Amino acid sequence: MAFVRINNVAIRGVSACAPSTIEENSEYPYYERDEFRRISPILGVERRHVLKKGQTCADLAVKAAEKLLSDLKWEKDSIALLVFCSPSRDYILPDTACLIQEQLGLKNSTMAFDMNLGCTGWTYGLTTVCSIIQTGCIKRALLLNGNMGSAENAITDKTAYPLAGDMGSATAFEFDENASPIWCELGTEGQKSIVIHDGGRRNPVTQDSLVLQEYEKNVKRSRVHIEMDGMDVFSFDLKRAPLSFDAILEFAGKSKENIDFYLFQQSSFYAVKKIIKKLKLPIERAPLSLKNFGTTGASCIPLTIVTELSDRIQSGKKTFVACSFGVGFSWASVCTSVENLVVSELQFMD
Amino acid sequence: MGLNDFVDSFRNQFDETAPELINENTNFKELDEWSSLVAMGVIAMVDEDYAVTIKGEDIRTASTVKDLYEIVKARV
Repeated sequence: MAFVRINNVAIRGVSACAPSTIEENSEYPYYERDEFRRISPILGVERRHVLKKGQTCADLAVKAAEKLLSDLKWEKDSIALLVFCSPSRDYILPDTACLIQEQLGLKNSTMAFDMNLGCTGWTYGLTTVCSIIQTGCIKRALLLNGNMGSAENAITDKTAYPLAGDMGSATAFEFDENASPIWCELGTEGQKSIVIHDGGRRNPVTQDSLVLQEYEKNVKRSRVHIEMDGMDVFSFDLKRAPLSFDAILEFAGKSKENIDFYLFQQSSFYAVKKIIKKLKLPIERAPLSLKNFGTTGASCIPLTIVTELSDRIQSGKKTFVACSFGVGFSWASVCTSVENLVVSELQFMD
Repeated sequence: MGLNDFVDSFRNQFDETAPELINENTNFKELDEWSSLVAMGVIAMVDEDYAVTIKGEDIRTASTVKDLYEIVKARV
């Protein structure tokens, strides 16, 4: 476990943007008759928002950022760091963050780069961004995150497609000598239990990469879609999340009773419920966004703040633990307090 | 940790299978009801009841319930 403590940085605001188009899992074409009703209590996802062809999750993140900057009344010139973290970036080159710098109209003296992590994209992104600005040379930064489940999963794979939704989010950070510390705990167990085999340099794309292979009935995907070992992923989630959660509380010198909200990565409803139960946490302080949006990867935690906590987190000082885990395997927990956090209303993109 | 208790806990992961069909020598992956969802229930049970982590490879390697019991017992 790597421990990082960051001083002098405040989280100022959070926003998210969903595509307008909704797909209902009760109408998913590759479930057998009655299958959705039977697995629904375990699946936990009733609907997802999906992008149209030609749109990307970066588009969603940009729209979220525009709204957040407006709500914060921040001049674009005041931002000097932009990170876009998502496993679904617009191009292999150049970094999507560079194109977003231009699109958002940020000044040229802005540091902009991509990070690739998925499930841990917000916590690792936050740790990175805050580490850079904590000396005050750069005063304001944006972390944009995105997820594109509809593209990363094959629609013909009933074990994957109905779980993941499309989403974009933006989080704003500012140098502030009066800010509460940000404690972070991060780690890695490198494995390909969640993998897209082809398209990187190890296995370049060939015509074979695009062929849909049938693994069982209604489980068809190609080598450019996500393949997941569900048992290994669940086993990792169940083991690591509670360890990380306990470690961050110990590092921050807090007990779970001091914490107002627990924000868990929601890769699967079954897993997150088991983790909450294992940690004996009160469910009303562990909100979930999974039911209406699916698992949204790097945007999951900011989305959950927007949809589930906007009425409870914006006033006064609130302390939360964010606990993320997933593809890599990678994990990270963050503990901090926010004061008068600005949470934008959920945006939609046609 | 006793074998009988383990078999009982294992049997409890199944909703539709007659209890007498599940014993220590059952090739559990051949049961009609066996699925990745039941597998996750078994992984969660082993974590909750025995504080042991088992993974996909363990489930793939074990043939009988007793095989799985031996794997878990070695890690207690």
